[in-house]
Amino acid sequence: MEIKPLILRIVSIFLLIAVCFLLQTSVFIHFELASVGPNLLIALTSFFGFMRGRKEGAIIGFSCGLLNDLFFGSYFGAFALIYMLIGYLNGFFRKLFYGDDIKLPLFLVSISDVIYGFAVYVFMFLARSKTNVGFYVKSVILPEMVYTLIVSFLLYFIVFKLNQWLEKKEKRSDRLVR
Amino acid sequence: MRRRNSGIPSRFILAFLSILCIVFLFVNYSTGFSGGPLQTVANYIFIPMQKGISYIGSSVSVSSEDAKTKEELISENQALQTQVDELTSQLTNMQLQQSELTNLQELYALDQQYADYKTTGAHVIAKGTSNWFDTFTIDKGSDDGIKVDMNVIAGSGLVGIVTEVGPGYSVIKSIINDSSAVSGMILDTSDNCIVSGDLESMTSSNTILLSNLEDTENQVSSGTSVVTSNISNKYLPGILIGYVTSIEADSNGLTKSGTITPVVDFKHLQDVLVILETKETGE
Repeated sequence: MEIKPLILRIVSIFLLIAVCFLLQTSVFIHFELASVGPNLLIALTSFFGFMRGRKEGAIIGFSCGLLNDLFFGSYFGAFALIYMLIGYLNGFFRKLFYGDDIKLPLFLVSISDVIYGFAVYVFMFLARSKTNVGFYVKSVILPEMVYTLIVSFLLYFIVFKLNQWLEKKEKRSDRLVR
Repeated sequence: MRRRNSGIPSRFILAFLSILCIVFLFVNYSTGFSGGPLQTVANYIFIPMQKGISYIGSSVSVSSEDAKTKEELISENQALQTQVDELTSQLTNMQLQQSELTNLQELYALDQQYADYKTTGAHVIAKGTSNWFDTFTIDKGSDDGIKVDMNVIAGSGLVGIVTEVGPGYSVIKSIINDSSAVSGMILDTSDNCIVSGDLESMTSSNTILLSNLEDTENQVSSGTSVVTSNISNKYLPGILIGYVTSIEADSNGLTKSGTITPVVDFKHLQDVLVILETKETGE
């Protein structure tokens, strides 16, 4: 058992989630476009989903969603469920993923954000009989997706490098054990 | 990697986490539990950082104030001076009227109903992560005497209500949040109505919705003030919510509904006041 790289991975991912959460709640609120902000936590969940597989995607999605619920959720557990499922679904694309190609990551992030938008709409708005889908798509879901996509460009390289570094450490300690 | 995948299959993780979420939802629904000890942990990790970031943000905005030119400052000073004169004269008038009012109230032996509420000021340090709901965090909590269900105002208008409290922070659900509803009252006629937040009308026209208003004498028109009603079970009476922007009769012919423009500028909310008093409903 190499426990050290695992702890390193957990700590660094936790720090990354914390930084993204802080950026989203305290920094990007000053840079809202068309009164929406980017959704960094969804981007993060999606990245780890297709980079590391279903299991890690689900766990990281769950943590991101739970963080949301802890601070701002009106239904504790709802965001955790949505984020977790998105992380899990992204895991199915791991086989298609190659590091250098940025098209797939950006495509998956946008799809994830749209799915997230629709899930929130269906469970928390449609359930209260707010039926004007067109409006919500136009003024929340799409602007949020575009903004998230733009920010994802930058975030992707950070996450990708971090993941590479972590995987290198893991391989090295694998070799040491053998 | 391959070795780790041979551990617990991802399907089990998915099932386990889904069940956990659903249990959370049920517990939350039945007991109102929302994190408990986890919240305390979050409080000590994130709140200090959010405070720091918002402090840096505010000091940056102050330094842009410093960059004003001398001419701008002089003209601003003049404008403010005339405003001071104007307001002083208004104030004297008001003081006269106030003393008259106190005399009359004493005559009628009226208790002063809308007593000055005791408040505490706080900074907004973070906003909710989703673009769907309007909630935010302030930098004061139970250590400063804030409790759940306390009303929050800014300037003279209602902002929202405290929904969660930690030692050093509290979360506020604003009245423009899509799921909030406030029992309101038309100031002039004391007719009751329901004021509910709505993302759609907020985004398209900066208004919130007004409904269930019985206005048989057609006295409500655009510009009428709407305050919190005295029959609300969470909001203190007499706090200004906003002004009616449009009003029309419902199809049932008995009630009216329309839109209200809130007095508070929710886009640029930085400091709020929390009223340190919750409504006593005798329940």
